[in-house]
Amino acid sequence: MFIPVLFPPPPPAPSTRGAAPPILADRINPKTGDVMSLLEGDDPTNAAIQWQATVRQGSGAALGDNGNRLHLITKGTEDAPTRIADEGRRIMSKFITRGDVSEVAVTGDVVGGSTATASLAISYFNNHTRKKSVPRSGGT
Amino acid sequence: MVARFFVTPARGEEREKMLATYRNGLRGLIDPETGAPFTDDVINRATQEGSAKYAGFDALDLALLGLHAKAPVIADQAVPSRATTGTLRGIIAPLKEITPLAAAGATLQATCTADVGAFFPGSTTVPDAGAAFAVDAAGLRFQLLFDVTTPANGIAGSDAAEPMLLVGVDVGEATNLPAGSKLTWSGNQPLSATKTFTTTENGTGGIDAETDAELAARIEADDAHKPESGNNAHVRKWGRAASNAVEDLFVYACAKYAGTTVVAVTQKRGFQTEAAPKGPNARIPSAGTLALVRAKLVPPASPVVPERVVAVVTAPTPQSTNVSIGLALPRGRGLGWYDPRPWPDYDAAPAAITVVTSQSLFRMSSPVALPSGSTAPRIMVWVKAKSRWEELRVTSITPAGGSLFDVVLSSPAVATLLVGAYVSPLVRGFKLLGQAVERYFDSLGPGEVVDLATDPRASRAARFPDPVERYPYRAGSTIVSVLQAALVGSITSGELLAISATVPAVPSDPASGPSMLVAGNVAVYPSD
Repeated sequence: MFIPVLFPPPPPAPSTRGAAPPILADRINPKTGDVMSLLEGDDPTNAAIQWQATVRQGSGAALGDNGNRLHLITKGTEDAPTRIADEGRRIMSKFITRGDVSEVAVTGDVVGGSTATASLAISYFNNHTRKKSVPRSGGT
Repeated sequence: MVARFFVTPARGEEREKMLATYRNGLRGLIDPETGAPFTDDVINRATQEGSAKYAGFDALDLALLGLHAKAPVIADQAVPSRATTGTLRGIIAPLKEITPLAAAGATLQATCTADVGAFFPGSTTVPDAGAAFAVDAAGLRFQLLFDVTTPANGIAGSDAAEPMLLVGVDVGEATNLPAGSKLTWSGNQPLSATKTFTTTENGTGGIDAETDAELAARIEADDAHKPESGNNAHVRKWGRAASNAVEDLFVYACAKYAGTTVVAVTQKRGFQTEAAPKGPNARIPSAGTLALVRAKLVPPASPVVPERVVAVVTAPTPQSTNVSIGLALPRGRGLGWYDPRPWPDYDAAPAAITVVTSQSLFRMSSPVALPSGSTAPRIMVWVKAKSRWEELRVTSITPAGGSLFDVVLSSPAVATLLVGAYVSPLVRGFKLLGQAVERYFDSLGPGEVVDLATDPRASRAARFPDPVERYPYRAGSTIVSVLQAALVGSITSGELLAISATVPAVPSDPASGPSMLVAGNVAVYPSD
């Protein structure tokens, strides 16, 4: 008995889409740490700050003073918000020194009591794009 | 740090190369947001420190640094003197068929009371069950090297023509017993011999097993001059392999007539403590060391040299060399002169001890008067037997007429004061300077056995290895640079004021062996 089988059409070859647009800096998903898009980049300064805040110091290419040390803050004690904010300021310090950003405000918090997660909020004015940073959520 | 054959990238070099390539690539691309090429501003921001791209290349740079660090280490393995122990002893030495030398035993000189005519059997074969042997308090065994017959005074070994020489059956630096050590006969001695006897000279020639540097030097000597068919390099190679106590061998081919080979041996200084340096003659080989080289090189017993060769193995004759050196040193500070106005000084002649009354009182000559108001300048004396300076604790120095001065010490000199010993102003870094003087003379080798300028044998009998290449025999102002290296940054300049010999004397008979300049009396004076 003949049973017709309907195969889905093959996906278009990558070359038919043309060359991918050049990306200066990857747009990182703050929740997962992955690259969000192959077609769309991010402002280099915003991307660098996001990367520094996302990647754990000592993992992957984050050697030296690259990456954050939030993983060392393991207990939601009274001073945890201060320590989290200090870490945020440390991350931002090289960008501030170089004049990449200004009007930096950093707040740390522990969300959900003593067993909850660390929360780090950084807002700044990007001197290159002349724009305020937009809130991004996520983190370690 | 040893100079490298090639340079490897420094930290950051590879990162900057990668970043430069990346930036160049970006410059040709169109920014999708603006429709124009990326500006240098955004390219720089995308690749500056703190960006993910920069961190990535930086991490790669670090990984490459580790890989590059291996390259010089691997390249070093090709050169014996730079190879690691494993490569040198596991690969290079076996390939070259050169075996690392074991430790060697010292030679001791002693005397022993026995009946007149009593015979002590010796042997140059070590160990030999037939030779008389003795042990020291630590149980180290020594064997009589040559036969000794007790002379008419009843003291075996007291006859200079028939010394009682014992060579270590046990080996190593520990066998270099000091003079006065007690030994006890343990076999084959005549019945009339006193059981316990004493050594008369410091032991010499006892040395630990060959170090990597010494082994590498022997291998590199073969590379520099190929040993074959009994040529000079071959004789040198054989002799150096006779005992680890041999520092180097100097060959004088056809020195007496065709078919003769005169060989001079120098001995390794080995380990010494600052409290008991081995002195200027430490490189003159002991009888035991010479016996081992003779056994290797002198036919017909030689296992390597054919019978038709007349081989003469000699020790260089030490030629004591007095040196006066002028140094520009800081005064009253650093490692320089202790006194701001150092005394004595050099003026056509050095300052030296002329009369020794006691270890605390002596008279010295100085061509220069005391500085006005100075009654107890700090001075030091050269101890020739040790090749070291000793600081003298001066109570007073008073003029004794003419160019003479009486010196009173607050505590007796440790080394025996000798007439003729050179006196210098105290240098704070005198211990380092003393070692440097010794190091300089240790870098010299034996001289010639024929007059190279006039003797027709000169072309054949000139010393091998060439003094231009290894162990020069000419002493001179190079000593100043050795002293400069010892007190780094302290000696700005210096000059050789006087030296008693610049070239070792040529012996009347080549078979007597060459002379070698060794440190005699040494003095340093201000020269600035």
